[in-house]
Order: sequence, then C-alpha cells, then structure tokens
Amino acid sequence: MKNIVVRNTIQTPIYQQIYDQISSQIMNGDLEADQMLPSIRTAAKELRVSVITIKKTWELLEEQGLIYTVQGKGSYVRGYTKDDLDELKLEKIKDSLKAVIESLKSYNVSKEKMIEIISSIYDAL
Amino acid sequence: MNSIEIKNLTKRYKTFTLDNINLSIPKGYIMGFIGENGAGKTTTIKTMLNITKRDAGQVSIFGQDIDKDEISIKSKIGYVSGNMFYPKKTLKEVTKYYKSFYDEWDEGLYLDYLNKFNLDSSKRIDELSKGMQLKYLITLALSHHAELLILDEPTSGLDPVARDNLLELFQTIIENEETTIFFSTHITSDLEKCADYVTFIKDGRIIESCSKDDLIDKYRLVNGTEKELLEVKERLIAFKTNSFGFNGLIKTIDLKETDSFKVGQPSLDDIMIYNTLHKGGIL
Amino acid sequence: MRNLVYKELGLSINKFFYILPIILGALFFIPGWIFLLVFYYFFWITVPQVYGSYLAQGDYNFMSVLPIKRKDIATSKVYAIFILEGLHMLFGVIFGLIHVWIFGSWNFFFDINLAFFGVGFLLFGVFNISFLPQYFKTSHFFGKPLIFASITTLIFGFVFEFGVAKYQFMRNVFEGSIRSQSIVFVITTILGIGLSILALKISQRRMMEIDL
Repeated sequence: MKNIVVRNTIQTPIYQQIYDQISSQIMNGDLEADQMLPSIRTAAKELRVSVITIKKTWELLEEQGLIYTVQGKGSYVRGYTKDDLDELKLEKIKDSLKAVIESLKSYNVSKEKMIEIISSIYDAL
Repeated sequence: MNSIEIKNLTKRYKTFTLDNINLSIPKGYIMGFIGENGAGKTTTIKTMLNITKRDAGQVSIFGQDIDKDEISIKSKIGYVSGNMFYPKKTLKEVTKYYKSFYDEWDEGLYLDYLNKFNLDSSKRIDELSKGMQLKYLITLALSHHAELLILDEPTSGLDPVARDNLLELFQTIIENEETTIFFSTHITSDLEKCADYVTFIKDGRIIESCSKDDLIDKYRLVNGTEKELLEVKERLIAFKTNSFGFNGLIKTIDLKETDSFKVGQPSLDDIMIYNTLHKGGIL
Repeated sequence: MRNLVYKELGLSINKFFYILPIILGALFFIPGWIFLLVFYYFFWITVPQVYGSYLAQGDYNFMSVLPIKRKDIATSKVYAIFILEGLHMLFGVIFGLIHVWIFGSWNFFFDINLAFFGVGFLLFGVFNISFLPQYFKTSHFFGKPLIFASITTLIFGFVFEFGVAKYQFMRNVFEGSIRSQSIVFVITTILGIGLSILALKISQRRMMEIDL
C-alpha cells in the first residue's frame, strides 16, 4: 500500500480517508487494472487500522465498481477504458463541487458570481 | 464463531463488584478492553479464566464451557498478566518446564520466534527489558499454537516505539484469521491503531462493547455557547464549560435536526473521558 | 501431575534446599543434644524461604493459566514438601547411624534409635497437618500458619524430649527393647503418614475454593 496516509486527528472517518485515496489512485492509473490489492488483514496491518475498517473500505470500493473480488483469492483493481475513467473522474469532481456550491448557496452567492469566482481561481493557478 | 462468550459474569468483593458482565469476541479479531485503573479490567480477565472464582455467570471459550473443559481450553490460551515470573531464571530454564505442559508445543516455531525477536535464551528474565519480556511471553504462547491471547495491560511501561512494535505484532498475529487477541489497556491510542472491537468498562460495569467504528459513530462531540448548553444539557452524557461556552459528549441518537451547535466526531479518548465524568460538569 | 512436581522441584525451589538436609544432618554429629531439633530447622529455614519465594518469584502467575487442574497446584506443592521432608529424614538416618557408631546410643535426651525416627515421622505429620491446610486457605500468606505449626510442633517435641529425660516409663517405651522401639516406630510412622495424607486432602480441597 503506497502513498496512503491515515490521520486520526481529522474529522473524516478513516474508512472514507482510505477509500478516497485508493479510488483516486485507481482513477489516476497509479493502481493498474487487475493489480491485486493486499488482503484485508495485511492492509489493516500495513495501514495500522482495524480489520473492520478495511473491510468496509473494500466493500465500498467494490460497490462503486472500482475493484472486484475473486472468492478465495483476493481483490483486484477493475480494468477501465479511458472513457470510463474520465466519466468516473467527472462524477467525483461533480461530487466535490456539489458540497462547495451548496455552502456558497447558503451565503446567497449567485450562479454568475460562482462561475466568476471559479474562473478567477482557475486563472490564478 | 465467537472465541470468548461471557454471560452475566459477576464477582463480588467487599468494596467492589464486577456486575453482570456480558461480552463476546469473534474469532480472528483484536478486542481492546479499556477503562480507568480500578474499573475491573483485571478482575474480569481473572474471573473469566477461573483464576479467581466467580459468583455468577457463564464463560465459554472456543465454544466450550470453562467449568467442563478448563484444561482443554487453557491449553489453547496464552495469558500474559502484568506480573513476570522467575526473574532470576534464564529463558531456557523457564521454557524447559513451560513446554512440558503443552502437547501442541512446536519447538521449531519457538526457535523461529526467539530468532525473530532477538531473544537470547541464555539470558535471565530480569535482564530483559519490559518489551523483550513481553515478546518472550508472547513467544511462549504462540509456540504452543494458542488460539487466544489474553494480555493484561501489555503496553503499560513500554516506550512509544516498543508499544508501536507490539501493536503491529498483534496485527501480524491475527493475519492468519485463526488467532484472537483480547487485551486490556488504559491507553486509548493503543486501540486507535489496532483494535477491531472495543469494550469499555466503568465501575465494574460494561458501558459499551462493539466494533471500534460503531463505538465512534455512537457518540458525537458537541460544542457551543452557554445559551445552547441550556437547551441540550439534559441530553449530554457530560460536559465541560469554559469562557467561550461548552464542550460535551452526546449519543448520536439524541441529536435533533434543530440543534444549532457544532457537532464533530469524538476520539476514543473523548468517549472515555466524558463517560467517566459525572453528569453536570467537571468535578 | 508429574510435570508440575518437576517444575516445583526444578523451578520454584532453590537448589540450596536439597543440600540443606546434608548440612543439617551433620548436626547429628554433636555428642549429646536434643536431636529432634534438627527437623525444626527445616520448618524454620526451608519452609519460610520456599513459601516466601513462591510470592517473590511470581510462581502463581506462572501457573495461573497452565492447562492444569486447580487441585494439582496444591498437590505438587505438598508433594515437594514431602520430598524435602523425606530427604531430611534420609540424611538424619544416615548421620544418626554414624553418631551411634561413634558415640554409642546413650543420650540424656531422646536417644537416636528406631523409635526416635518414628517420632520424627510423626513430627513431620504434625507439622504438615498444622501448616499446609492453614497455608492453602490463602495460598499467599505463610506467616500465621508457620507460627501455628511452630507452636504445635514445639509442644509435641517438648513432650517427647522432656518426657524421656524425666520419666523412667517413657524411657522404657522409647529407649527400651528393640521390640518396644519397633512398635513405637510402626505406630508413629503410620500416624505421621496418616496426618500427612489428611493434610494433602484438606489442602487440595481448600485450593479449589480460593482466588489465586
């Protein structure tokens, strides 16, 4: 398990932290199609979290179609075409934007203003 | 299958009662047992193992009744109490007698572990550091293929590095899905790192016993102004006030949609501390 | 059971107490003395040292979850005491015979003879029944049980040593003919062994009931 960091100090539940990082690694192609993931217990040991937490993470990854499990063997990264990945990425982007837009909306920021903000931040990067 | 199943375990002393303890641990997992000093952790462990006599209740380990199959059960248990034995004897001497009690003793495995843990069997027990002593005891347990390790405060007195090593060792041990670990501690960060299940005991009673994730989900940390405290006070488990307002712990099911104060995820520490505080504020 | 006794002898009891019977046995070389006292040194040196070291060494921690019967913890400790007592008796007999060979058998107090060793067995029996069941009420504290056992054994010893020194009829029974000595030997030995077995049984029963 490379480049996965778990923090006990932040509010996001641990299974969510791990899910976020693995799913983004899958989408970025850092984890390749049909690559085998470590067993639940090994991953728990390596990341120093509970077995139950990893079980939950793996279930969520499977539910989201990011991995598949072969009975008695283990879990593997699902193979994606580039289009699939783009679509998944888009979904993820939409999800995170949704939260931001919701909170902006609660401050009564108009749609035009939001677009303006986004483009100004984008240009500045 | 459950490795340990305890029903209504009761032990009465003049000044302390272990009251109606119920808990179970599924096979192949790590359960942490937390509570203050004197809450009844050691008494629970000793009573469930028939080291002290219980006044009521049933204990079944590996699906067998402890009263009927005590010897067969104990031959599959490794128990590490806080107290060491035979400090002036060498590991070699102690092992020689220890192994004569176990039909399942695996000498090859024993030598492997000695090697792995860098234990020198010609050393005396009191020449080992606390962490090495623990490793020796765990070696003894694993070498007779114990399916259940019970450890009473194994991490107390260890430095942070040794403690971390030990917890990692626990997780390595349960990788085979066969071994179950039950350990008591008063250091909640031990549990954050490795426990699958947590049992929380206070004044001889079990307050919570469930998976660690569920336990954290069950509670919410809240903070708000003094005005907000008035409307939530009755629902809080405990709270502390300060010059900015209050901090407190609430059961997640007691939260209302209309609550305006800030809500966050508690740590095990928060859960333990607030549950130990008396309702109505600190001291 | 056998492995528990081995563990008791090899791990729990200091090797010195296997040599002590020889050292104490040598007290039989004193020309004239109260020879029953030799056995009291066992009660006052070996017993408190061994029972103190059970606590200091964490002996019960070691045994607390071994796959053994609770009863056998008491049995093995009682057997260990029997074995040590046997050693003291054995070396007592050896050095006693040498004493008689060198100095002859006459002694102001109890002579070293067959009846003497029979009374020795009974002394151990009295000690066992006074000390062991008391100790296994807690399996922790040996002080009070040992004081109690010291009193009973001292009264017992006084009766014999004083009686033989003072009264002719006692001398006739205990220091008289070989036949008279043999009868005393048989009766006291059987009584001594009987008391020891009773001590074992009570200790086993008490061990079942206590918290370790």
